[in-house]
Amino acid sequence: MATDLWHRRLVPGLVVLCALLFSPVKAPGAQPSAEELIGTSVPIFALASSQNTLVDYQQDYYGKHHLILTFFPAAFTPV
Amino acid sequence: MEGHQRNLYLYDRFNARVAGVSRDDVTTLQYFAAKLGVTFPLLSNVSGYLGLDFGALAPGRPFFSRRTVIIDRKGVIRYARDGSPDFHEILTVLKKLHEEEDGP
Amino acid sequence: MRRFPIALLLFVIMLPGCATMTAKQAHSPYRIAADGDIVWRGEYRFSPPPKPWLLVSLDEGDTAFAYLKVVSGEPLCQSTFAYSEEPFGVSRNLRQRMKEFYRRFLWAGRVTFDPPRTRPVTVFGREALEATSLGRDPARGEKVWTKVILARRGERLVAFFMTQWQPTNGTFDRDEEKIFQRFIDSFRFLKPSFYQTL
Repeated sequence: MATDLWHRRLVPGLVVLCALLFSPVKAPGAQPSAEELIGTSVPIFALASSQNTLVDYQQDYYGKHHLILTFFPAAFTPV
Repeated sequence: MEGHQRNLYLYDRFNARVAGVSRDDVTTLQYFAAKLGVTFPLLSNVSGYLGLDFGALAPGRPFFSRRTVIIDRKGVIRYARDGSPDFHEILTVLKKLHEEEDGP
Repeated sequence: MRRFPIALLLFVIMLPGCATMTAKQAHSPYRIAADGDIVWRGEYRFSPPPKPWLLVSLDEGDTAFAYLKVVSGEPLCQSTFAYSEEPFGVSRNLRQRMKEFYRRFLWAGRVTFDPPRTRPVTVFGREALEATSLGRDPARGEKVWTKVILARRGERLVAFFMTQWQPTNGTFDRDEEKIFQRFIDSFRFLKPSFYQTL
């Protein structure tokens, strides 16, 4: 009986636990650190801008210009 | 942002452009850009998805954290740093990217 | 290393006006040359003003510094003068940058400035612009005399500026301007700036 419990529940559970512990996959909600971003490809994006234009990365920058993006908390606060 | 505006002529020299990104709406960013006198775009990412992609939106926080990234022309992120922009670092990276493409 | 915005740091020094602020004596990497000149971070050299002016280091890695003088009496007032490698504003045009500078200068001190009076001057052998303006804060019963000099360093603009706070009915000490001018006249760059090496 004990053996049966071990095989049916505990072993799969241990396998899943080990997979999670040693998995390279980030926990849900975890954000990439600055270092982890380097070397990765930028996602495609298009956003409305303060200049009344749609800024499209693919169209406006890709293959044309290097792009500096500064994320800041909110307008009218120090950046 | 004032620092970016001050350095625009150098960014241009290194074939770089700059944009700010926040979760503000476009109208607010228009007022902000006018107040700052910046001539580069401020992008409105109300949903915050771009911040998530770049790791600038911490779980549970309504605003982006300060983070600056540099993306080269091939779409690869070559620099990322938290906090207010470090302009010496930014320009050093841009100079390096420019030299990679065009030689010193 | 995180850089602290110069404008914000200088605001910290300039804000209190006639309040009881004491000068910070943070550790700063400068040395005193044999002739008494200050050599700051191996980049600038200048003759320091006489006591009781106190050198204030603003932050590690920063390129700006200030001298502070606290005037005893009631209320306690202060004077400062400073060098800024990246003054407020964005333009590389002297007149435009001066306008931009005064829009931000002492903004948190709730000071209203008279329109600055400007005149061309020469600094480092190149054209520069000097502006003077009186600022008032009637709510606190204070006034501030300011002088700003925008000068060229390579392609960019740098600034020397001074403030002297007094109560509204106080008298400004005009000798401080002479000390400020001697400081500017003695100022030398010892090596090219970061921007000049790009």
